Amino acid sequence: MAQARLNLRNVTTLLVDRDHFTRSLVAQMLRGFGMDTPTVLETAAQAKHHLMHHYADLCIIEGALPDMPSADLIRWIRRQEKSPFRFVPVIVMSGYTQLRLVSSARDAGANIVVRKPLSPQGLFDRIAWVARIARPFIEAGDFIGPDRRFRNVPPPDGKLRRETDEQSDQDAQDISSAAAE
Amino acid sequence: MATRAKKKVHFPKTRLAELAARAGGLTRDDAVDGAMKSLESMTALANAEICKSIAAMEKIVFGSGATLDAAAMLAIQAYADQVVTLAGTFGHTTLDAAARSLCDMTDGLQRAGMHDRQPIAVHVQALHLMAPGAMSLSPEHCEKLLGELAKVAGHFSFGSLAAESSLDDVEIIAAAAK
Repeated sequence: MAQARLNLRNVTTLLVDRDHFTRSLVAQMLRGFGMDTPTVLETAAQAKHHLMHHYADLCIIEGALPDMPSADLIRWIRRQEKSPFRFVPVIVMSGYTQLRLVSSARDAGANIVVRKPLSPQGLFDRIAWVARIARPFIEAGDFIGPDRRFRNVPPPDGKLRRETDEQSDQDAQDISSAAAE
Repeated sequence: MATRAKKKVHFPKTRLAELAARAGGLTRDDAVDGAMKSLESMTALANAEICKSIAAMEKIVFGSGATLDAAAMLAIQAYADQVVTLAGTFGHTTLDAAARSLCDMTDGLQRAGMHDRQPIAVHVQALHLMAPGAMSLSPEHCEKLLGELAKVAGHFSFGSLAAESSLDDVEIIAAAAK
């Protein structure tokens, strides 16, 4: 079966990471995916300023920014009720020493978290996931963000994922079956 | 009686979804190939960056006394994290493992309020030997070095950051089913 295509041309991406080299690395991957050159920034303050004046279709944010945890930036994004970027998909990149921040980023409303080191396959699959799997946004109490109860389905063509996800796919079906019972 | 906060559910259509669904674009294989080619052009730069990080760690560790203060520990951890990212992305497997061990060690020492330089120094020396462009070690030597680092880690019995922290989203789905 032919693989489905994903058209990421003209997608405007905001990439925020403290490290210059990591920013270049991710930007290169994105260009390889056919995306336009992302806007690359270093701090949460710069990201906030950028979002207030420009739009982004996708935000890719490091777990621990130099001026605040990514969770605070995501929380700020999700609370901008009148702004078009409130529902923007946010992917958080977690460094090895930032893994403890993963749950706080998720609690703040991140769409998905990806661990560094990044692989092109891993990053592409997650972009494909947030682009193709619609998740409702929940606003309840302190939480504003995508529904954290994953719909455990692969992307529509079943191809846009890692080979190692096959087991996860089986597991996901098991979860769905258990939930249905 | 307290009232519960009202739950709202939105069904936003994102521009990313609309754009991605347009005709044209790339298949996963083509996109990944394109990204791999883009990354190949950065290999030399990444190797240089790894060596720079190791040199910076050496400067901190070997320019200090028997202990390292909190700022030095944090700096080493940041450099080690950078090495993990780059070594993992560019396929330096043993260097990646050694750098992760160093991250675990600095994290454990900091959480225990310890400032020992020696376990850090041993790790940094191992990274130096495994650095890209350094003398080429046989797989047996690499295994031996990693084994020695594991002994150091075993002495302190600090946990691994990977084991203690949250899983990523794909792993959560898998773990929930077990």
